[in-house]
Amino acid sequence: MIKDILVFLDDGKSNHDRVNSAVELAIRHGANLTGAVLASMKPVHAPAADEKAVARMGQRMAEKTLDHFSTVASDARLEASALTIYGDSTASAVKFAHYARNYDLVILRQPNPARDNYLRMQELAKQVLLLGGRPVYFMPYTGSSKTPVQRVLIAWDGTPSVSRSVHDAIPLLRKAKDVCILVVESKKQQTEKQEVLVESLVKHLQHHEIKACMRKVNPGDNSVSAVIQNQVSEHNIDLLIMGGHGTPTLKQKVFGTVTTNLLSSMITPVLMSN
Amino acid sequence: MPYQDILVFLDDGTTNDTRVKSGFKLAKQHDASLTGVALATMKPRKVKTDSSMVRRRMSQEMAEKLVGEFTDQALREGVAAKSIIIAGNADESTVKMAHYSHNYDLLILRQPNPDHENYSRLTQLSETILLKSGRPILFMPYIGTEKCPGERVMISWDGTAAACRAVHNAIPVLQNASEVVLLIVENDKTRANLPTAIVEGFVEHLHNHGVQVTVRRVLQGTYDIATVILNEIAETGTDLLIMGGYGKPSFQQKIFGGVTRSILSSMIIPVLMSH
Repeated sequence: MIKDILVFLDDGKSNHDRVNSAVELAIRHGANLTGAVLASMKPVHAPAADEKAVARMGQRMAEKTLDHFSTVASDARLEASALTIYGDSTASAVKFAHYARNYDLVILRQPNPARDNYLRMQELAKQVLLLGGRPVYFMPYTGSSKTPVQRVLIAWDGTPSVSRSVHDAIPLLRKAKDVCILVVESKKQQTEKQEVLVESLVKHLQHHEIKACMRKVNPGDNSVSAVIQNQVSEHNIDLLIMGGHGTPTLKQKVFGTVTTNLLSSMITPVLMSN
Repeated sequence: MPYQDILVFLDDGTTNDTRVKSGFKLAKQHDASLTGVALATMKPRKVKTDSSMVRRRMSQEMAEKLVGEFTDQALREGVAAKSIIIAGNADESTVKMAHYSHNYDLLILRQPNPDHENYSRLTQLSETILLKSGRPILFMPYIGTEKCPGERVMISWDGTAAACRAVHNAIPVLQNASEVVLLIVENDKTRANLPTAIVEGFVEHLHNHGVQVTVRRVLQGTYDIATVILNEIAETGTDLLIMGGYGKPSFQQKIFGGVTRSILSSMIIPVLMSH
């Protein structure tokens, strides 16, 4: 059950779509919505020279963003609360992650490599995934105006983290129209055992009242992320569920290759648990 | 999200009975189906033979017997049940079991008993499944337990991702509990990680899920954290502890962190953990 949703707010282009999706999901699940803004976030159009001025503009931007959020929420007759988080890049990301633990779903935005807040957004995504322990719903930086979570694709590779993502997403999946489990066949997974296990996953989801289909794809020469992206566009998917993998020994490298590729090039929302 | 599929580990230990009973009770409480799993290569307790062939046959027979008894009991209890026998040596069977675990909402394992010769195998099993399944695990104590866990619940809350996952995975259990205590062992770390505003937010969040919790703050003082937790359990008559299962992933040998390990080896009540 989803009772509390946290959504990240900023002054970017995709903020509008993100807030709309959050409101839509909150209404659908009868959940409370909280919007969070980072006070020290540099406004998109602020000149970088004067630090004090940027800080002041950041604060004002935060207030404006929260105002917009409250208006959208009250127009939708949704009870919403607001949160301003202070501190520099890492401190605010860690604080955000601490707050994230009090929610059932956290909606963030995908970092945009073309923007100068790219590193900061990456830091936020990393800390929230690592420290938060909650499922994170990444909205693409290009925005997404579709109704959220109607046609879902699960990129299943039998890892603990994808299993966690799927279980965390069960309340979302129950209200989706179409759920499909995608298995990209690689040498690692081409065993009969895996097949039996995926079939039993279909049954397990059925017990949770989710009707899922299973699709197996041979990647050929394509990379796993390319295969997933093809499937996403071919089947008009509006949510991709996958594990947020990484090499935990190297704290820097939180995301695995497939995750990084998808996170930087996705055009559809992605749900991840680490 | 309610529990729909529960997995329970079967063996020939003295606590198997209470473990299976708790499995059935939880399955009934949550209207879930129960799967019993036995390892085909687990050495029966009372076997004293040097012949590996005899031992193997007896292990296989034991697994079949356990599964048979489990199925009979399921019929008597009227719970939808399935069973699995997992073959392979210690490593293989552990990995296989972790894979099976992905498809369950809750796993019921047993606490390894340091006095028994299967201690290292069971420890390895617990650790690997905790790390590789991504699912919550209910560890039943090896000294057994009288009642079905979950009446009086204590959450050992330190504001880490693992503890947070453990609590969220336990929400169906918490909703059925009559008393839930959120225990915060105060030291420098928890004071930094758990400002009052965030703890209040967490209490409210659980309240939104229909779970009423009381916050209890205890100073750590000079004790280690595990001791403080165990003392609190004994004092309050708690029958289920919920905590995060931590690890130091850089050292594969030492999977469990200090607190997790001491609780797992000295616990006398069921413990629910997520990694």
